[in-house]
Amino acid sequence: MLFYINYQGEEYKVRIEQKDGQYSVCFNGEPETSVDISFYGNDCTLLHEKGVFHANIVGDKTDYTVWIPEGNLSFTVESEYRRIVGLLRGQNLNTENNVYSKMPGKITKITAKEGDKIEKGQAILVMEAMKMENEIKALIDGELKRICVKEGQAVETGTLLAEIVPEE
Amino acid sequence: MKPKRILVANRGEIALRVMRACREMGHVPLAIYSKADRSSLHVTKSDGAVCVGEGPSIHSYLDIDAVIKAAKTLKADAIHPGYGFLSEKAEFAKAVAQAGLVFVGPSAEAISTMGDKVMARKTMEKLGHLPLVPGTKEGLSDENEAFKAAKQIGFPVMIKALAGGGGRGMRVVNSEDEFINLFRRAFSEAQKAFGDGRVYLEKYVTSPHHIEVQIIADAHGNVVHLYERECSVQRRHQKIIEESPSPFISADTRKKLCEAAVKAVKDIGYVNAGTIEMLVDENQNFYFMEMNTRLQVEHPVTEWITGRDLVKEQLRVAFGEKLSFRQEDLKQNGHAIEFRICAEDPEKFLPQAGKVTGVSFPGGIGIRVDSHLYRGYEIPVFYDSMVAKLAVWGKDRTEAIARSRAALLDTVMNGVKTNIPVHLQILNNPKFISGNYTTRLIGEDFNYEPKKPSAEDLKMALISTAVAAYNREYRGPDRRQPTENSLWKRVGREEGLR
Repeated sequence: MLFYINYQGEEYKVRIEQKDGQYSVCFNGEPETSVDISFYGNDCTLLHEKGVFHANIVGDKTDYTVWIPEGNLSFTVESEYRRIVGLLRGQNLNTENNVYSKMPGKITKITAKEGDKIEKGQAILVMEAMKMENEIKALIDGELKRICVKEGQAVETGTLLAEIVPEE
Repeated sequence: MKPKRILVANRGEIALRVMRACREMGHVPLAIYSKADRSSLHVTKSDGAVCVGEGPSIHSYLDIDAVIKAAKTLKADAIHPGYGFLSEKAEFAKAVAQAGLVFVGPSAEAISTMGDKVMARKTMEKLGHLPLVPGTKEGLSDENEAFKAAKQIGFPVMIKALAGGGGRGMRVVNSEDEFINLFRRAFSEAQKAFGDGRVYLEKYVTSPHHIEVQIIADAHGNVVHLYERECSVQRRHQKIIEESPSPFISADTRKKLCEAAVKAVKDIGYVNAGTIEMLVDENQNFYFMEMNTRLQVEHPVTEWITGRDLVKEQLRVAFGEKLSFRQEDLKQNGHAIEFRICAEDPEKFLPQAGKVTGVSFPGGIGIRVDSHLYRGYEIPVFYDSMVAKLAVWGKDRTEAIARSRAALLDTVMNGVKTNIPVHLQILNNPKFISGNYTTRLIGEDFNYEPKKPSAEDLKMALISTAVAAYNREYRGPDRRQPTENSLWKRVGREEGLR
């Protein structure tokens, strides 16, 4: 997964993948390396060829504060997925309530009606993508306010599929 | 001494420090707390605690009636006031005595004589052991009258709050034309902070060193000094680093200072711990400034150097016992430096509040940490920004400085900004290292420069943050590490013992 991290107006691209329990990192397009990093709560220790990096990392949504001896660094972190969704929707995705498509595909079936009471994990529609049929499920308990797509419709990554009003 | 129940009428590190001495002597430590302090360590670690009110100290720690009532509820025999809050309020000492309890500190009379700065100056002048900085003898509230007095003393002059402390209501006036304006500001500041706007004036000593002598006296006429502390590293007129012995004064000056302090204290008939604060100029002339009729924040440096526990002595003396040592038993051993670690912005010295997300203190030979912090602790907005004291001992000043540097680098405090980077930079300041620095070190010879992280550290920070974000995206924000004490691990260990 690729992350865009902003620090003092400058953007850094850091790609993180996990392979066999090891993290592999690609920093700003540099060659991929594996890193030895361990977390305990907010505390993080990273062993690298020049020494040991130790920090306390506190994240709040997209804002991360990294405490190091010199003081604190403030980062804004955005994953590639969220950035794409944001770009497609022309706004920031700050609510998890609604259902979006995570990849391009075709809506094959709609399994719930507008106005239905929906439980978390309940399927709302079926989408075909990469030759697989996937049930798209609600992320929260609530009421299905609107279904934004029709059966047979092709959708792109980040398309709003359904709006759900959370239960009080 | 029979075990007593001792209420510590304070909070934070000093409450813990006093409670430790109580436990060591077999006494029962008791606590009071405000609603903002319910989860503070001084409550958790006490043997009984009572809530005395709301967060703001005026509604809790400063409420004399509430504190006395708490002492009754907890069946306390004595009250130790710590420093700050009610420690230098004569009416509190009086109320404690009237309630039939022992006040661990001087008598109400001694507090009102020496705690009132103008009265203290008058007393000292009469006794004649310590010279005074030329200044006014009365509290002033009329600006024209004050201006006349200032001209008589000669500029620069210092305006100080009569009731004050901690730098509030204090102004330096360099020339006549600034006087009225600064007088008004000092007056209103003192009015707000202490409910008494009156100020007094003093000649402003150039190149001053703030040097104080620790004394302790029992009710049997024994008075000893525990040498001096140099407290010239100050910001906003508040000390942040103290050391003992003073690297500046000569052996001859030291002898004179300490002996004069003992004589003065003997003549007043003062009992318990106290500190005589003095200004020492570049030619080693010294002037009496004020007396603090309580335990000082910086007492650990004296304890390092003399090997004596001041709080234990305070308790002994309060219950009528003799001091456990004589003057000739004491000598200055090695060198000690104390750093006040404050939750504050290092650039602007502004206090910070918030949650401590990570904390770890140094240890090892010559390291002492007094602190009430723990991981997850919320620093309340109502109280002092000092959250820890690091007191370091070395066989000489050079070793103490090197050890201090290592200890500060070893101190981790995350979640709020602290002045640790400021301390580290002061330790590299040539003037500080030389030992001949004045109260104007910060601002004149030293200015904090925020350090940028190295490119390497920034890269590591970015990578670590990306991994943290990755974990959160994939495992959810609340997934924790497996617990240390899993059943399987325990079974495994037990099996290993067979």
